[in-house]
Amino acid sequence: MKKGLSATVIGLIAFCVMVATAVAAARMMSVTVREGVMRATPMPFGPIVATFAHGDRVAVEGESGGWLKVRQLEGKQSRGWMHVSALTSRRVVLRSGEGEVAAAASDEELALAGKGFNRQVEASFKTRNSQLDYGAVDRMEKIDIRLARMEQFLREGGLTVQGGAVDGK
Amino acid sequence: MANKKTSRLLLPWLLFLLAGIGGCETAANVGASLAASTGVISYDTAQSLAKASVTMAKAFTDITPEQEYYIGRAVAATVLSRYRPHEAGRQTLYLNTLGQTLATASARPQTFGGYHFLILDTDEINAFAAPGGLIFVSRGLLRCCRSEDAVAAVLAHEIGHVQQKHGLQAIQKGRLTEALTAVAAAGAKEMGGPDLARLTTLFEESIKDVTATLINNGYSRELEREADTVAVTLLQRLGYDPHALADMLAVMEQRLPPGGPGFARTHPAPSERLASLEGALAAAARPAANRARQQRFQSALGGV
Repeated sequence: MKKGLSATVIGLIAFCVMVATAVAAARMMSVTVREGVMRATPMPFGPIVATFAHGDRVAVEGESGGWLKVRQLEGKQSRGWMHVSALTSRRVVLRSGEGEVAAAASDEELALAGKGFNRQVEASFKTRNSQLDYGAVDRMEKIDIRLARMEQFLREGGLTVQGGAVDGK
Repeated sequence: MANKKTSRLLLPWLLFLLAGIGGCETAANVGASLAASTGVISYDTAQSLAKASVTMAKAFTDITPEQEYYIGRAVAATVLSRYRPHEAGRQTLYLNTLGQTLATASARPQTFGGYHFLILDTDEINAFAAPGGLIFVSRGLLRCCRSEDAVAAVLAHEIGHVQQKHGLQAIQKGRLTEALTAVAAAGAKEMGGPDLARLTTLFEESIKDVTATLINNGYSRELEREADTVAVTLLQRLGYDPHALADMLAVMEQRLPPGGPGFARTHPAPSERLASLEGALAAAARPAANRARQQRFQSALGGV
């Protein structure tokens, strides 16, 4: 009797896990930054597996402390980890037709890329404020430190990521 | 009676202000309990007011990282119209290596255009974080730092402002609501003249909101404390000495001219920040000093 009950409970739990997995597997997210980075591990300095462009969609298969386990939809279908700050659950509409625009206007699930405060508004703002030096801002944005350099910087400075291990591994 | 009327009139404004201060839902709840505690309105009314303030407060969280990026660039350009960049390649590179490493380990490693750091050529003690991650630190402030850990503390505090979107919260909600509605209405077609002109005006006013807070008025004590808390966590995450933040504040305390420009005007007094950090730092271990780290700091920023 007891055995039967626990078997039922285990069965139920297994069912719930399966359903949860199926739901998680079906979840799609879009890259909301200019270059979304996919890493081999859910760690800040994890090796980079792939990079994605703004608006690219990925399938979410799991989650761990601010990191999402994602699968590339096209090409090699690589799997890896992306930080939540690079993703949105809204679908990013990059180049949209009229129908999609109308939908995006009323649908919270869609985000129109390049609309609102965009390049065009910046250009118009620059014309009105010609005293502003955007050249210096552009130069500032060009400074990008590579992952290998960051690792070297940490190593040489006797620094390590503390408590960064995720899933206890 | 007159009192009641005044409270009724004041309440929406109070909620509006509250919505602008903290995380939106918490602020709304505070608003609701505050409204209920005045005894002027019913609990239900308080709840619906709370809901309304959530809708208002939602505005800044609805800004996409791409829009935040354009706001940040304009704020940065404004900062650079008041301060000259300190053109020193090696120092800038060191600051970016340190800053981008910290940002990568932060709770918001990815923004639309990434984190970038620049030194401002001024003796004034100051730092600014434009939305999206364009961060400025003055030579005067860097001179208050006696170790790489202290510079890391300064940068981690600024990363905290970016991570918590403090700059965006300075934008008046009405502007954002209008801009975000205009976004939807404008659609995929190229924006027409009047639409673009209106959106540019909203953009211009939003930038003024942010720069007024950043440069002239400063954030609330609460937001400064939040940025300090983020900084302590981030320093510990990479193995830096979190007490370096206190060390830097102590030097700043000595050097900051009271009532002067910059930090003195826009930040709570260092002594006040030191006092509120006490709790967080009391339990934090002080890691052993690292000679190689101190040497590279000296050689990169010793002459700043």
